[in-house]
Formats: sequence, C-alpha cells, structure tokens
Amino acid sequence: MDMTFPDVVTLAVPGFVLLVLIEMAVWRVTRRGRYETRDSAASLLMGLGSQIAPLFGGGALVFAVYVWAYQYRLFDIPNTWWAVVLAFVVDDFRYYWWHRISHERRWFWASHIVHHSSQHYNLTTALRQTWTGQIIGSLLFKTPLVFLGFHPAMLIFVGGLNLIYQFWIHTEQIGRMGPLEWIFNTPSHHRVHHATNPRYLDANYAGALIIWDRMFGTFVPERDDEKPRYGIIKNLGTFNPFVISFHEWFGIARDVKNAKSAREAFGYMFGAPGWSPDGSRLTSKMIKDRWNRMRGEGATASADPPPALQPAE
Amino acid sequence: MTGNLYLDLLISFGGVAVLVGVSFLLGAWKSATVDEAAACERLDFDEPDFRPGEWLFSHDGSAAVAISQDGAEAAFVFALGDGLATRRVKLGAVEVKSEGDKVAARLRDPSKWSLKLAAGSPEEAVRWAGRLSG
Repeated sequence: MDMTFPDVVTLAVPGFVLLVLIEMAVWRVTRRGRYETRDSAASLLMGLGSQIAPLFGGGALVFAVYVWAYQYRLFDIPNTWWAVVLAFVVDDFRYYWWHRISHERRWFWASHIVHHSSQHYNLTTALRQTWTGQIIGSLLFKTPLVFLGFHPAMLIFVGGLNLIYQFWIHTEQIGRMGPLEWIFNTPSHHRVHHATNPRYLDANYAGALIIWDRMFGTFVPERDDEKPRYGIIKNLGTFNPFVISFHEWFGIARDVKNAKSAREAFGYMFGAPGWSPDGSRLTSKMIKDRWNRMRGEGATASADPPPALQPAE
Repeated sequence: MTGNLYLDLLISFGGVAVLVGVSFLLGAWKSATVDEAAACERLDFDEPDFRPGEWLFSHDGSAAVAISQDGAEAAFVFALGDGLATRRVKLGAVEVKSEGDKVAARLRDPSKWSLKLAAGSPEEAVRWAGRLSG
C-alpha cells in the first residue's frame, strides 16, 4: 500500500517564521509577555541545531529500526483517514508518557531541559529544542507503535503534526480558550507546564490532548492569582547554545565521576532530577513539599515578610 | 526545502538572523539590573528558605551576593539578559578571591563557571573575598 506523507515540519517552517514575527509585533504593541533578543537567538539556534543533529546518523538509525520492527507488526493498519487520526491519538498518548519520563528521570531530562531553559515563554521558546536524546525517545517509545502495525511513515507524519500543534501554544498572547481547554492542550495549560512555581511543577505533560493529564492526575490549571514564572529550578547563566545543549550531561558526568558507589552513580543518572544521595539537592517533589510546608507555616504564623525580603542585618 | 543541505542551512541561518534582527529593532535587547528589590525578589522565589544577612551589590549592577544570617551559606544573584538567576553555595565551597576592586568567584557551574562583582574598592573586595571563602 502507498504510505507517502509530506514532510509537514519543513512545510510549516515559513509559518513558524511568520507567526514569530506577528507575535513580536503584538508584543511590541501590547507589551504583554516578554521577548529578549539574545534569548530568542539562542532558542532559534537550538531549533536549527535540532534539525541538523539527526543528520549525523541518528535519524537513519531510528528509521532502520522502525523498518525492521514493521516486519513483525501485529496488525496491518491501512493508509486511511481514520488510521491517521488513530495514529495521531495513539502517538499523542505515547508523547505524554515520553514527556513525563523526560521530566521524571534525569537521563531523559538532560536532553529535555533544553526546551525549558529559557526564562521566557514565546514562540521562539517552542523552537528551543534538544540536540540530544530524541533518538533514544523515538526508539524506546515509538517502536512499540510500529510493532502494533502503524507504518513508520505515518508515525513520522503524525509526530510532525503534533510538533506543529505544540508550536502555537508557546505564547502569552492568548488567554484561555473556553471549552477547548477541556480536551486540548492550550497556551494556558502549557504555560503551567513551563512554570517553575512550586504549585505548577510536574504538570500538564500533554502534547495535543490535555485529556491524558486529566486521566493520569497530572493536570494543573493556570490560576489568575499566580502568574507562571518560566525557566528551570536553577536557571542558566548563559545564552551559549552549546552550553545550553550539554550542561546537564556535563553535570551528570561530573556527579557520576564523584559518586562513591555504583548505586549512587545509578541514582545520579536515572533518579529524579535533583536527586542526591544525602538529599542535599532538591527534586521537584521536595520543592513542592517545602512550599507546602512553608505555606502551612505562613497560614499559622504572623504576617512576617518572606525570609529574603526581611531587612539585612 | 531545496534539497541542497548547504543551501538549506544558509537559508535557515538567514531566517534566524532576520528574526533576531527584528527583535533587536523592536527593542528586545535588554539587560536586567541586579538591585536590592530585584535580587531579593528573585532569591525569595528561588530559595525561599535562604535568609540573607549582609549583601554586596556589584557596582555595575550585574550581580549581587548575600551571606545567610547563620553565616553558613551564600547566594549569588546575577543577570542574564532581562532575567536573573541564582546560585546558592556553602561558604568555603567555592573559590573566591579579590582582583583589584572586584570579587571573583569560581562557581564551577556548567552554565555559570565564574562571576565577578565590583565591590567598590580593593579593601571591600578583600573583605568580601575573605568572608565568602569561609
């Protein structure tokens, strides 16, 4: 059967450029949201690099594995419109778990952290993509769908559609979207995902459909009384794309080198981001616990200002 | 695209240059100033259980450092573009020395290897380097 699909991501690039220009113009007029030239440059170069990275052999390897796996498929899923819709939904489900694990295990986070490393949230942030790790993710999480019977070309096509969908939600120019918020991932839901406010940590992993977060208990709505603050727990000190791309891998290598046992080394690689054997660093769960603790104390204590706002002695 | 890798790359870099240029022209090139209000606000968000005692604000507005009230830790706050970032360290855990009227700290963080603060005078720089060295 014919399984030819267009390269939708490449076709969408002029649209990406146009939308970024429009968003910049809107930002200039409304001053809603934030833009910073060097931050945008870093994001755009990361996006460009992410398109070049698979050319170093990884993309071909992934496709070869898909082709091999397709020989052993369970079902013959035809090239029909309903199969494409089904593939999109199943692939979106796959994306949810891949994304969630990318936040919960440092090995995968080392790659995905790139996308969260900007303190800004605009359409250029959508293009701040990793140069590493997509291969592992594709192999681990998409290959089962190939075994199921989805043609590799169809999966790449719907994956591209999902990526395009996720582009436009990286904006502060769009508020809430009414009933669409129930089913779809929206700018509001994804702002929460990019926020570092303890309330918002580890939430809204969805690609296109927010229903997965609602089903698996990771949905957190955006609140009017708490504006998201974007970035990562320890924000970067550079706009250098190479440092952005590899800093967490460097951190893992240094921790593993200094590990006192194989167990520690394993924990540094595959534990939650922020894991340390003595608990001296903070995982997102510990940050949330601290926040809940301090909030509880704040509710019962006097109206003292927060610690860092108290006058210096 | 065109099918020619080098031409595609050239077009892509051109596109990036255009977008960066437009953002510059629209006034998006901004640098934050690390003053007391900004530093305290950022530190309170990043490290809510850090209780700052004495502060040193770099005279060029690029960074600040606070020593905790219990004297065990320090928190560096520095600007990156229009945003601020923080690094919390145990006193003595990072190498700090004075260089003229500046305090130079080697944070050894992969994305922020070192940091300099203009202390105002060589004497102040020596004093702060001594305090931060634990």
